[in-house]
Amino acid sequence: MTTCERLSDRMPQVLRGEPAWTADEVAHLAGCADCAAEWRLIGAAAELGARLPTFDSARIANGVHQRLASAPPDVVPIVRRRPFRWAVGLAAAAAVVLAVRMASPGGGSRPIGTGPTIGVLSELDELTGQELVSVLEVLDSDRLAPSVEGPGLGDLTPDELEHLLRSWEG
Amino acid sequence: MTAQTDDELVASFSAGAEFAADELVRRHATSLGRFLYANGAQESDIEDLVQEAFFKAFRALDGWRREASFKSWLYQIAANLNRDQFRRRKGREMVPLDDHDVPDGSDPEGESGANDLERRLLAELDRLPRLQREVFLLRAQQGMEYDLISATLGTTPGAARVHYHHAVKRLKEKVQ
Repeated sequence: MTTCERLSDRMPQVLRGEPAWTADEVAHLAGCADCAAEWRLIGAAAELGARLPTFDSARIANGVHQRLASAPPDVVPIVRRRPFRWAVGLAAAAAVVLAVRMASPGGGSRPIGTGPTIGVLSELDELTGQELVSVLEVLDSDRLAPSVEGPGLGDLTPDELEHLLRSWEG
Repeated sequence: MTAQTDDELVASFSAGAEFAADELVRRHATSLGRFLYANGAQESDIEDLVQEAFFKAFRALDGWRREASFKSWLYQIAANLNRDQFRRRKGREMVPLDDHDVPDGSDPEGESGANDLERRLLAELDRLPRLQREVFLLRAQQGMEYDLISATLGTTPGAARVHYHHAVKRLKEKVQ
């Protein structure tokens, strides 16, 4: 790791008063225009919003308590609702896939999307918009995904991601 | 007396202690507001967004998997709310520079120059890809480590590091 990289990594912490710059680092900052520019940038970023009026945290907390107290007890928190919606979507998707396969002459050997589908289209009419989107997503992933799950952006190494971002940014 | 950790306050709140929520709000509201401001929220929306983020966080505590800190969970919710608000508003209303914002050399404290730097930085932050902007702010403004950033934004620490350095490179070119 170069001195510039090391300083860059430390800047947010130094700004918050954690181990301050050493004499060597101060000397490097004084002589390296690139690091000095980054140090000014990080300083400016840390100050963003500093001039905003101070929040009245008591007022915010009261508002939160009032909303929590007045929220209908039967409303399920959003993080619980999602699995349910997905379960509905997946169940509907499974039903559609089964119906398509049973309707095809090959008894399921025909790839999805190439067989007769008219018989199941009426079933789709009974789904809500959200459920239909889930079904389509599942069908798309079933048809388009390779047999072994391919890598996503999160699976790339930092070097690979760096290369990819450079190619996007030109 | 040692201050309670966020996790301890969350546990107290879950057990019915309202004061624990008050303390969590007091502890995080201001920095969360500054994050939202720098991340494109309009000033007039910030307090509502902060309140909404806490409301959603407390409301959904039972579903929180606690793989990261409460702060990370809170910022994740706030960032999502901000994205929704941004889509509704179609972006930040940029306030044009007034005459008094332009440095004229008669500003010994350099305050107007600092304001100008802030405006240019906000403008360039708006132009960054969303993930680069959020990673940059969580690190440069909030001082988060990459593992916490990755938990907040649903990426990996290595990817967060790359996004951060790309953001810094671009901002250095455009803002300085």
